Amino acid sequence: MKRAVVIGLALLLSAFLVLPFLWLLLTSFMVAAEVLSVPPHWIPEQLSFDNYGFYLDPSGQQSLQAGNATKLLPRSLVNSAIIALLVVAANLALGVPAAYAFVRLRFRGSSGLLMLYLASRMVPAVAIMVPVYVFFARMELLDTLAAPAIAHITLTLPFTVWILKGYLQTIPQELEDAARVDRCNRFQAVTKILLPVATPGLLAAAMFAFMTSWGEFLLSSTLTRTISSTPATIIISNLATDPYVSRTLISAGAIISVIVPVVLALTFQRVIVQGLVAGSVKG
Amino acid sequence: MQVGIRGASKSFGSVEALRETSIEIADREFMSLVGPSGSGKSTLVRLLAGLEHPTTGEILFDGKAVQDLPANRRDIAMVFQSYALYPHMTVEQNLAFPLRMLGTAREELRTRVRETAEMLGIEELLARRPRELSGGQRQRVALGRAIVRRPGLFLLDEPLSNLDAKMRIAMRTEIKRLHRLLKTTFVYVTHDQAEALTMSDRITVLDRGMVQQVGTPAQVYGAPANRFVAEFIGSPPMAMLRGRIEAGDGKRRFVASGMSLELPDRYAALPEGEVVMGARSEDVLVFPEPAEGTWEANVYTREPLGSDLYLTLETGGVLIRARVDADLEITDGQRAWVSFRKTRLHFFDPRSDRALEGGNA
Repeated sequence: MKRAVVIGLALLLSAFLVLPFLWLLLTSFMVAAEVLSVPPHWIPEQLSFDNYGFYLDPSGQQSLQAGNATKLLPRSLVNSAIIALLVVAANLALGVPAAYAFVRLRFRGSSGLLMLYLASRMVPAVAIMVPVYVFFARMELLDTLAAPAIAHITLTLPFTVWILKGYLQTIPQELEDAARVDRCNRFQAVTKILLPVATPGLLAAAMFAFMTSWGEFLLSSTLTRTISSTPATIIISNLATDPYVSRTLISAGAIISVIVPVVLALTFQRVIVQGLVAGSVKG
Repeated sequence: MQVGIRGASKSFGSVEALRETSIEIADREFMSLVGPSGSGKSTLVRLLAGLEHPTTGEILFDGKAVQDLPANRRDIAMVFQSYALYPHMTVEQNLAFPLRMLGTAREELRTRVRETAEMLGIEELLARRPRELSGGQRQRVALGRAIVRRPGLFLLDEPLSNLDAKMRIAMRTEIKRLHRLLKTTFVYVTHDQAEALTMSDRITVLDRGMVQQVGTPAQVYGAPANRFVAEFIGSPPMAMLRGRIEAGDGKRRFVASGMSLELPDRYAALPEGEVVMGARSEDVLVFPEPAEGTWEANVYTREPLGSDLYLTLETGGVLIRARVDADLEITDGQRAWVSFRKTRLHFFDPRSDRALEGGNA
């Protein structure tokens, strides 16, 4: 009985999470008129790939009807990928040494500093939007790929340090000691032993940074203007306000833009969970 | 390799883990560092490894000061309690790792790994990963990774304490055999006095960061320098009785509540006054019937061990452990009569706890 209630609630919750996404997926295969039909229905009467065609062949015949918006999506996906990869690289390059220092070295104020990192995540992004904008404007970085990349790095790095710290803590000190005795210097002990062993944690941190950057909207919309720097999240939302773009086309665009994170998440989900949970059970 | 520790101290913040320690270890010697947890034995071995830096003092390898050299620049190998095998490498890669770091040529590397695997009987495991191995197998791989590059000094930090009792005894013999085979200096850390006694050429007994005694197994067992060593080495622990030494008609007597023991001449140098007398369990004699020179005792517990029988007896408010023949007919709650093998008693100063001059047989 109790079990049935738990399962029921779990189903309800998954429906809450899955159904909107399912609707998006199904409508992306419908023709424009079908979405608006009354009563609405889930299953497309006939599968149509036209919506995807608009994006995949932007110079083709079909895209003429859809106006300019669809032409921007491929380029914006490239922008998103470049930004996200920069964010991942910076997170690992800065996060690993920082987390290592917190785990293995004793220094004054280390726990205070960690708390400060966490506190920086508590500030709502909107609250600092104006100073952020002014900062990037003065640096003359507005409407460059560097602007959202730097903004996303500051957004993700504190949390990355926490994830990595949690994971590195689970790796016994004796492993590094053994490496030192086996003729490694401190740096080699880290690169040859600690980091390979910490791969799940590194992957989890990288995935987290990638997805946060890929899905981020507010900072990107403030700091970019033209297609030379605008990431996909902005372009997708712009579709909605374009009178030439149908609902089904928006759905297809949204589906295209989530393919990368979904594939990554499915590929690495076990490793990610392992990496995120580590350190939380045994501190 | 000859190892010298000269006045070495190590503090962690306000905690003094090791105080003013000096030990000389001869080339090819098997030296055990034994003591309870917190005695400083692990700190000492980490100082030798170069994983910690001494707060004060010197560490000499073949007469050369090495305390400022990091671990990777010392000619040592170490086996850790947790084995510390590299989980992302196969057994073969684990064994090859120290050689690779030394830049050993591929051909030689391969033969050395193979030889080492044969020596330890782990040829079959070379392709496996550490998590696919049993505790005993992991232990062998850890030993292999240490011996593969033939260092001048082996450090073993409680290498057997994660094994079950049977495996532990088997590995003792194995380590002893490796020591004979490799003809190298071994420093072996353990909290198990039996391991120290069975394996070592000499033993250093440590307590609270200080050396209590350095000596051969026979010396630390037969002539403990103080009460700590007397009670720590040997199982079951030595019985301790408070009393006095009295002199009369040319003889020394040990007098305690209801007990007066005439001592042989070898104890003639003992000063009169308060003492603590120690007797090992095998030197406590137990009789089912009263006899001359015996004292009545209550039998507290009876632990038959097959070959031996361990008795805990109470006399004059003191508990005494005795190891007697298994067929001695004595039951719980019964009375028994005790005496001591007079030639193997130990006498300690009750204030300093040190062995009295002439107090060890």
